[in-house]
Amino acid sequence: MGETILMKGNEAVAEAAIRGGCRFFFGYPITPQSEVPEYMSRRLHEVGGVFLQAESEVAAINMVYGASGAGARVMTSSSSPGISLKMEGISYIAAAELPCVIVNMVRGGPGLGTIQPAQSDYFQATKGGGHGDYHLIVFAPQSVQEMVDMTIEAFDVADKYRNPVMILADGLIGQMMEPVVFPDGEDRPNTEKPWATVGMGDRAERNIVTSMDLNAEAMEEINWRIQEKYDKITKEMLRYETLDTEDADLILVAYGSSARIALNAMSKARENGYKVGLVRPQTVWPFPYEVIKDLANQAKAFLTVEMSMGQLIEDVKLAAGETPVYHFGRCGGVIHSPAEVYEKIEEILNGGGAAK
Amino acid sequence: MIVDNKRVIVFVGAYGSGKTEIAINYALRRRRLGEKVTLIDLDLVTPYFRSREARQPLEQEGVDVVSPEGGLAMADLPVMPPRIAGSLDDRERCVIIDVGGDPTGARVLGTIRKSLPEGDHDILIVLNARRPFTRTPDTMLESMGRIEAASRVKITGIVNNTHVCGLTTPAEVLDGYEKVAAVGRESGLPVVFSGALKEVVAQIDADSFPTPLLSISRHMLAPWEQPDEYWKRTTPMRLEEWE
Repeated sequence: MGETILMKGNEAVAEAAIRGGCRFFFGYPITPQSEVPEYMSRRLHEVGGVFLQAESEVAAINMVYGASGAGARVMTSSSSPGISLKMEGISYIAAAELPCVIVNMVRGGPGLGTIQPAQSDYFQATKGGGHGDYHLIVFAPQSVQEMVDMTIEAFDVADKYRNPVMILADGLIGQMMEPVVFPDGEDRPNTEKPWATVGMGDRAERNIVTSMDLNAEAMEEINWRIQEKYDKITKEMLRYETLDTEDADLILVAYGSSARIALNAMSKARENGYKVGLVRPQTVWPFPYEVIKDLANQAKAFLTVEMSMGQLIEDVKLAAGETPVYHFGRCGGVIHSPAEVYEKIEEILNGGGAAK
Repeated sequence: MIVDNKRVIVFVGAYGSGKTEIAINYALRRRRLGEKVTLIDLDLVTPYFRSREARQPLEQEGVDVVSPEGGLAMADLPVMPPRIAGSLDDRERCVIIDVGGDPTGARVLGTIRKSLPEGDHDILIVLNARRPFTRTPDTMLESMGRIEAASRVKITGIVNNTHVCGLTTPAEVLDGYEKVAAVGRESGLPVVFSGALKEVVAQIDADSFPTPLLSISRHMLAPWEQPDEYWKRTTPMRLEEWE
């Protein structure tokens, strides 16, 4: 492994993309992720890549569509309102089964909102956001190093399933600095893409990249094919971590930076004799429903800790059966403190509060 | 430290070089030396982790903080903080200026450069040899040149702030010193001090280290890094309370 260096999350995700073989970046600045395009503008040309600041988020995602169709490893990044603008293009890319990586450094919403961190784009990332029946593969890193590792891998995953991958982080992870190590050796190679639209070559048939088929039966066929792929992804790509769940009465469920805050609160609760565990989804699509379902037989309750008014909680409730699920969240750019999460833990275990 | 003799100290540097922690801890040092101290947050380009977020602990120690106020304090807008000229003119006050990173952040310094007291200020560049764009003496010199060109001021000294947060050992600080010392030889500038976390300073023999050491207590913390005192508060501390 290389030397340990100190990086901001936004710089690290950009460098990791390059190490993952990304050679094209199209984006538009927005706080709190503008260091991503800034870093790319400085670094990509050094590796023979192309950085282009598009005239808008809509233009940027369509450039991603084009570059991916031509077989490139390509990335775009933005923050909440900018990701909303990209939604039409993301749906097209998913329908055309093109690989790419999309970074969302989530900020407080709804609307133009704030520039501070949030996790209120969970529904948008995991349940669609754009139109039609499609899914992104969504990684949810909790640290700068984890974001590096996931981003390097994201390009291989996107190519393998011919599906867009999202790195779902937040302004805090984007802006904070942590030590990181990058793997030694060459950047990951691009994969062979016989479907790419790069001219006829020796082929007898044209390659066509499109998200449109006006024949309803044919479009339904495409949907069936994509659904089969999603079933495969659900089996193969699920990532999660559990901590101290074996004897837990209360199980916290949290992802990304909220998981680190939840862990602080959990440690304090354990010190004070409360049996508290943690489930941390590292992918939020696919989601660890089965893990929650198994733990529901043993735990007295679940508590989701998220920087939103309650989005992750809906997935937990789908799996929790009769076991009550509580929610604690701050939003709009306010980060919950470990102390207030701890207070909520105490309240639940002492019989107070109503499940949502 | 030699720079303690100057009334106005300006910290510049590449983005993420640690200017804010250095400025906060150096301001506290001057305060503890018994001076009246003002810290000016002139970072107009960074959206999070700015010295204005440490206003409360700084004011508790008697350091006056000048930064954008009210509704625009948490915006990502280039708002010039008020009271800059007044603070610089007060001859009784030591003034520490935390400038934004890179040439982009340093440009604003050009607008106040004529208000800096003649012969009684230093412009110090903060360098961390473990940051991606300043890992070698060559790239450090390039960064210095670009900051000087954008800000239209001449850098007068170097601060070695080489670290990797909690993983830092004395070896990194010394390795960083060797790199910035090469920059010093090339540019003719002195390395005025090295900054290091107080836990790291405790492991260094100050007498044999080539520069004075500034012991750093971190003020820019993620919510999960809050110190123990945090738990003793009856009401949890929230980001907005740092306002």
